[in-house]
Amino acid sequence: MSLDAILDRRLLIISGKGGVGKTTISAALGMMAARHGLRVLVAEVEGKNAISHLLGVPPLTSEPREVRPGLWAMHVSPEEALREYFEVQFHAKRVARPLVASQLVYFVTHAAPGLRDILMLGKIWYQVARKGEFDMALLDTPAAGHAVSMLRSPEGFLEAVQVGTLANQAKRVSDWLHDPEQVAIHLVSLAEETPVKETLETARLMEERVHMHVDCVHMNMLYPPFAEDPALNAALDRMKTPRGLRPRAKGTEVLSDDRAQALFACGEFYRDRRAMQQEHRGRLVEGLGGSASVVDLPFLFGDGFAGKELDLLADVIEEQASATP
Amino acid sequence: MSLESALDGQIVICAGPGGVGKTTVSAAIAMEGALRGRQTCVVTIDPAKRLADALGLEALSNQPHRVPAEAFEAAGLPAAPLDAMMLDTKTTFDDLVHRYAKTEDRARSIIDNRFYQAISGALSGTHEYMAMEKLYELYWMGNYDLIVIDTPPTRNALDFLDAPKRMTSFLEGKLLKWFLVPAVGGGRGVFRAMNLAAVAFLRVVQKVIGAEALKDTADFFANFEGMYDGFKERAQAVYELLRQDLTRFVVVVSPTDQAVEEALFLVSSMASHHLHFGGLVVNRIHPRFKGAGGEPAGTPLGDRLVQIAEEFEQVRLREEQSLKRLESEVPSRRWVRIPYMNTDVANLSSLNEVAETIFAGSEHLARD
Repeated sequence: MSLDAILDRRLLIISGKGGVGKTTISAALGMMAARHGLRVLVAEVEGKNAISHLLGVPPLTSEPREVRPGLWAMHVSPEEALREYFEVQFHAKRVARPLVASQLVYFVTHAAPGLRDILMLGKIWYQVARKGEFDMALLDTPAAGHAVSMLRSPEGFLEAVQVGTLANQAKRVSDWLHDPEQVAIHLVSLAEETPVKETLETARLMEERVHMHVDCVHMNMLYPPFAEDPALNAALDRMKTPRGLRPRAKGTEVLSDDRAQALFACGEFYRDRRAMQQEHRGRLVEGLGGSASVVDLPFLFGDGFAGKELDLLADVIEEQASATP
Repeated sequence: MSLESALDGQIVICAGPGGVGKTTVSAAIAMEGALRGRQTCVVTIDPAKRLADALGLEALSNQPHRVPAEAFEAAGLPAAPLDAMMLDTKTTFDDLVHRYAKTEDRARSIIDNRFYQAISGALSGTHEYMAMEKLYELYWMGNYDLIVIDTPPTRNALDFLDAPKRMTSFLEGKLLKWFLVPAVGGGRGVFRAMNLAAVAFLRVVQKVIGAEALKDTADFFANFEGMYDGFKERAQAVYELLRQDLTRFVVVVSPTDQAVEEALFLVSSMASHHLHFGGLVVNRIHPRFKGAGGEPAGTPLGDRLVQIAEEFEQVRLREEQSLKRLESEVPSRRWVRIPYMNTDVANLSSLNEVAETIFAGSEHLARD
């Protein structure tokens, strides 16, 4: 995945299982793109308010707001999107207002398969492709299963309804989503069993049901390699007892039993978890079979200050993308 | 520092944000119950494959299965009365329709309805509703001393509590029924004129979503007429079951700011709903390697390990910092901490390790 393959898209859809760091990666990608001078919009869909938490800003609204230099954020809800849709389509402020207040919107947005999702996608399309206010948008989707049905929604709708204003809208959104020059899917995963399984499953469903291709998988929170020096890595692999950690040469300070034991336990923990992560990462790479590139993102030690971490992740993504022609 | 009080009840509901290991914790609690000789059933939502294999679970059955005695034997444990199942939302919903539909024909026409198909799988809250529905069914079967339920990862922490009520008020569709009637005879479209504003509105809606989708919706509510009371009564009964003395809620969390935020909300809403709190499980904590940091250790390997240990210590402190806000809400005797394990839970013996951590210090009645 080259840097251009990220920066040239108008929409990046970020998806993955709950708890893998979708919002963090969306924000890091957004910050990276903004550094290159792009006007970037991060959109999160109904029910989430993770971006505002992450960035320490007040809750988002349906109106994009600049949260970092060059980076805007908004919240998309189907109800809001429906209201705007009525306003734009039918110039119908009078109809729309009481509608939103009533339970009816709830029924309407549930009445047709995927209508809620079409409305949300339509809003993003409108903001980016139609109005052209932003160079790039990132969509931080809810759990992966929903992302599949969400992206499938315009096609699904068109199978059921062929005419009408919304059908036309669905057609435009669907065409846009299926243009790989414009839209790309990035998945976020952890190197653990269930997230890897779900990532592969999502990639398959995107291909089969949505006819969209997953461009990239961000493998989040990988323990870094133990050492650059192969001899040191080999020494860790060979480590079998706390005794082995004791310096042999005479005159060096002797490690206490307790400390040798603690260091040994630490080494074992690191070694086992890293091996486990690499095994699951291997399963992911094998499962993808080269169909998507994999970006390795480090587990961040340190104090957990979000601003610093996002910059760091943005650096790593940029570095790995730049290394690919 | 134990979850003992959770096992005092008959029902344990594990709730918490996504990605914290709720399913594993649920299975471990159930395993402990079964090892103490209680007839136990665990309802899982989306178990990892290895855990599912360990429990002998197969997808799509939607009914409890006994965990084979050989699996316990292989783990060096006595066979225990543990049943497990994987929840299938769609099938559970279909069963409910069959149960309350007046005739088989009516049940069929609901299940074939496209609007129903859209909501029974995808409507937010459906998974939560069906998990609670399954709980109710298992409870009334009366076969179990202990039922442990894993809850779906919800966007709003207590969705599973409100889900039955929200779903029934949705299904009641009062407002919608006011607009829609079954398409009798045809010729006049799918709706009757109750008032002019309604008709004007429906014209717009029809234009937007198409006549067919509107008709599906009307048909669905027409067919659902008469089933509503049954659904509502049942939802009320489920709600009461959740609040009864012997139902315990266990909150599972991992030590990150985001997960803690959600858990805090969960704990406080539980209190306001008068639910019985059974304990807090903090999962996926980095272990502490006490005394490992400090001066260089005198060998290249040892020196690198000192650095790694210090980095882990920083992570651990960050995790403790995230957990701080929970300390004022939940007394420490109700906490259990489960460190990251070196391996995945792939069999009953590693699941038992989790159970032992959760119930450390408890008297293992049946095990001694």
